[in-house]
Amino acid sequence: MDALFPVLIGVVGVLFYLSFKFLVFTRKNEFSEIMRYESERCLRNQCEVDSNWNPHGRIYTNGFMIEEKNGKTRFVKQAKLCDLGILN
Amino acid sequence: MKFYGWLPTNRGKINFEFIKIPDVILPSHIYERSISSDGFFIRSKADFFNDFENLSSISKYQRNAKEVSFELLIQRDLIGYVKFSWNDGSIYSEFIIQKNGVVCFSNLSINMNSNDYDLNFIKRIVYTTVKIFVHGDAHHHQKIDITLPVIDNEFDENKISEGLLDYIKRIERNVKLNNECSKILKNEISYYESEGYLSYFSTFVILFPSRKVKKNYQLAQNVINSLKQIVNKRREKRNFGNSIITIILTFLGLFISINILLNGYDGDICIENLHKHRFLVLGWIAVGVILFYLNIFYCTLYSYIFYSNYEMFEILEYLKHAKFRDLNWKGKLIKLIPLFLFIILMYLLQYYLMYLI
Repeated sequence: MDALFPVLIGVVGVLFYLSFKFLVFTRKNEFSEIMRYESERCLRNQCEVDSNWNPHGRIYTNGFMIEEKNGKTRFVKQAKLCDLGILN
Repeated sequence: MKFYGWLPTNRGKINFEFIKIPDVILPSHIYERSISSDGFFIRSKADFFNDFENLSSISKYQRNAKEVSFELLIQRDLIGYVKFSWNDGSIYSEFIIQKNGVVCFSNLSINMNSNDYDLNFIKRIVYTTVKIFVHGDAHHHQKIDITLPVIDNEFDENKISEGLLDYIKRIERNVKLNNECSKILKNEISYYESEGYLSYFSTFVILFPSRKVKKNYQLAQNVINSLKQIVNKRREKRNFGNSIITIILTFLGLFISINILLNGYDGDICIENLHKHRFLVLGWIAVGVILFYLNIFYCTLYSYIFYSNYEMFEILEYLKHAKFRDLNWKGKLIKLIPLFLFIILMYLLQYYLMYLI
């Protein structure tokens, strides 16, 4: 049991490090800035885009959504930044 | 109003037998289907475009999206229609597919109670729907993409070849820009994807051998050559780095072995106080070695997630950058996992140190 403690701490350390790397540490570069903006757009507005949206030279995937707003059906054009899709 | 597109074919001929239900359509979302020698018909939920639900599960902001279904009929002579419909509206278009892959859409009608839509985007949706059934998207990382342009009024092979060339250039540019460890697998496979894509371009040149198309094909080959060199160069650098790590660890192992051989093994520690001596040191060496290898492990794991489980990668990326207030309870819980782990780690450390004292 005694010998297991360092290993246990090692395993917890690994999980801790990985989870921090995945979820918390954000490197301050151009991409992280874009993604910060993108996360707000996608989480708040269901990735809706209009003609003013700038994909920052990156490529994105498309989708669409039909929603009803003020009694009118709206065709919502969606786009997500990703590594490989297509830009149009 | 007519518009045209090209359905990629490496065989040079579109056959009815090539048509199949793509993986992006979940079997549980299919309402009706019939595949016979007369034709192919499917009626299903159009979830392959509305692919944003995975983010709404962690977001606080939800919209009341209407469920969109679609119908696709392709007869044996490659004539058919595609229709998207929701409770009070629809989009409908007929199409004819030629043997060489050119698809002509006609009679596009949009039945909506507002004019708030982008017509070009709707054309793309109609074209892509037909494309993913007839062609499939085996070479692309993202299953729903629109790589080729839709052309109004008259088919123009030069524009299609520009689209093919642009797409290959985009692959190369993405690989050049993304040299992060999480993209290693993606970048390596991008080269093979682009080679596969080039085979379609090659068939396109045979089908439409105009001067500009041939020129674009040669340019695409050059771009892929450049991509190949980038991928190879990075692979060499990575292999060299790994060999240095291997040398260091081999020296460390030899040093410990020779030390034990020359000085003997210190065997006078009794079993009661093992934890205060050898296992303490060995434990922390183990932790050090684990942390040393962690970055390699992280790269491999993250690369794999990025390539094979892209949706998961995307959710993690959005969680990482999202503000806490924009997440629902599920998103908040996931974002707090590092904090929970930190508390557990601190608790274990405290317990372990108290045990040592």
